[in-house]
Amino acid sequence: MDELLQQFLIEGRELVADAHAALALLRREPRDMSALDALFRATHTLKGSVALFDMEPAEQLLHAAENRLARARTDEVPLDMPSCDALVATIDQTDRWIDALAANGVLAPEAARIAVQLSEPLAMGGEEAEPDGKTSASTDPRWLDALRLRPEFSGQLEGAATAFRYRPDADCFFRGEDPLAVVAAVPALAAIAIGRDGEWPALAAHDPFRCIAWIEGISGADADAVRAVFRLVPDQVEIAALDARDTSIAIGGEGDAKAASLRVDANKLDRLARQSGELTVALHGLHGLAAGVERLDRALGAELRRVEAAIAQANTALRASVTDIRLVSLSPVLRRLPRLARELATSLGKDIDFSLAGDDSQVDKQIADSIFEPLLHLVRNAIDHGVEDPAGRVAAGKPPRGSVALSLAVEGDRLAVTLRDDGRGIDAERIRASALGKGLVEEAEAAALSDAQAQRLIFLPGFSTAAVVSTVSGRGVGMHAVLAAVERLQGTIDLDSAPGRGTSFRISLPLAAITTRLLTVRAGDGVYGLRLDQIAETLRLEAADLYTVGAGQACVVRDRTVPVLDLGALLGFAGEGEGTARLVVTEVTGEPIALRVKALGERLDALVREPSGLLARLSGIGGTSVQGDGSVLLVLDLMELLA
Amino acid sequence: MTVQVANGVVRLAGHCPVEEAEMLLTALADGARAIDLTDATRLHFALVQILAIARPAIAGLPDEPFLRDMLMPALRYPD
Repeated sequence: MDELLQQFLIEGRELVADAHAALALLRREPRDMSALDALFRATHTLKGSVALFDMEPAEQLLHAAENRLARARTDEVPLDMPSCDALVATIDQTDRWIDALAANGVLAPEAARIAVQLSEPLAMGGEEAEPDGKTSASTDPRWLDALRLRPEFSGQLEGAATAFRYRPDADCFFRGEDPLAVVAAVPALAAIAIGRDGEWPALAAHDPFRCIAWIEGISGADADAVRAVFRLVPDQVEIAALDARDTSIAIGGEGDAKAASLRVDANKLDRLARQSGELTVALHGLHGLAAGVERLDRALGAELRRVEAAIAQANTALRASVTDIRLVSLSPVLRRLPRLARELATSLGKDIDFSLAGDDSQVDKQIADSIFEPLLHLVRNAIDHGVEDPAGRVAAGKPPRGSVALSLAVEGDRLAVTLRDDGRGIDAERIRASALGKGLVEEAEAAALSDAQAQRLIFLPGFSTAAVVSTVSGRGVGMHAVLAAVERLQGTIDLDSAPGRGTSFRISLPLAAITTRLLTVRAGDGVYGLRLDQIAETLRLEAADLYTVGAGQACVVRDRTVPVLDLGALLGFAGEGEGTARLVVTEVTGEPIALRVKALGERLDALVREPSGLLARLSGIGGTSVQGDGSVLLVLDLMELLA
Repeated sequence: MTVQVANGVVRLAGHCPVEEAEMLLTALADGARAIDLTDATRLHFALVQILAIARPAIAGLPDEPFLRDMLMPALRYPD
């Protein structure tokens, strides 16, 4: 993929997330100026970015949003709820267009129509006013970017909290205004710049009583304090909060807000983690060696131990840094959820207030990569099965708008995820009956279950009938898939439901990287990793101990006849043929099966990543693990391979 | 009279209001080569614009802190 496009897909989606975060704040407090500024910046940058691609409708729509926001910023037309809704729709649509660009390289033909339709509510509440130079400048958000680059402000931005751009009217002198006196009153003023759009006129051609210049400045005071100074000339000034991002821009000297950080290929990171693990193993060797040397020569041994201790200390620090680097914020992963929740609610005719909190929690990349799918599933279930439609809710004595709240929080070394809805709850009696009807439990068994235990029956494989097919993994359906995904991440899931009042799911996941015990085996043309927890035992049998049963082979393991399958053949290579057989016995399907391999390799602890891209479509590949030498080990999922 | 011209140097002193803009413009247009702001305490923005256009040499920097620390750097003085 084109590098520019790739960059845009990452950053465009981040900007969408930034915009949504600001919109969430603005919904609560429409006059939150810093949220308004953040939304304006995100919208403006998005508009600039989409202009680089074949996305004209997106550019037009974002332009309309930007104009609307500019009017809100100058307090000309403050944001109201319909405007917020229109802005949410704009950002959601932009997000969809980014997805479309990623998938197809172009927007669908109806994009132009959608852009026009969505821009209409944004244009309401005042026409696009550009009667003279003044207002067009106030809709020009580039001033802040330009301001940051001015030499007058270099080295001063770090301590500044607020920037302003004051464009006095041409005839302001006649009204008795002195722009410089106004600026002199700005509290904690750090620096100013004086300039003019275009060339200065010749002295002879200048009318001394016309104001032709602007003043920009930065101040250590907050935006409200600065705004107070300009209270008599609010239409001539723009004020913006300078946050930490702005400072990093100034330092980086680039237009990129994230100039100080670096994007690293996740594979390289896995490799680094693996290498630091190998260093630990090598250190164990050194430890033994030092003990041996000490027996021969005490002084040399002690010296060696000191060196060993120093390396061990450095290695511990290295491992801590690697763990820390792998921590990523969940917000980019979860940024789609609010939009998907809104879309689903609309399509089901439900009215839902979806809230997301704590999505800036930091977790290991592996958890972040795997958490979206199960959470999406839970959110879908909550909207689809939990929350009633508005009429049903009113009949039950609840407000017509349902609430679905997802919150994430770091608690010690675990991530606590809670999804709570105020819907109809899970009726234990219906669950019992349904599980009985599907033959998942016996009658006596069902009757013996407490209500809380009965509610957990929804996690049984085969329980979900209203199967929502998971779009990303394509594996499994229903709550069982959620439980399986959480358990794969070494997490737990609890459920608390009060009929008529709602349901809450609580998921607990580890924060740190999860290593998986693997056994490497040679089979067919390559080396593969098998998860040790899927292996019951390994065996070595002579050819004579294998016998033919029908078309296949079998062997006897502790008085049980166990079918023998050739792993190479299962993977599409030629079989192993004759000679001594090396077998790996697995019981993942419930019955023991022996897999014949060419050779058994080493046991190792490795970070296993979910398969992506083409690999994800191959059945039987459970993940990949990057080796210390940078090569990639395919980890097989025996359950899938043998299913 | 706060705008005075002597030996090609325009001297601005005290509070210089908008009315003095024309006088300053004329003085600079007539060939004054430098400006002395030592005793200026306040300059109306109309005068500042004229300095920005004419960019005369500075014969004396203002003592007044706002003019010295904020305005002069904004006019790129001293160069």
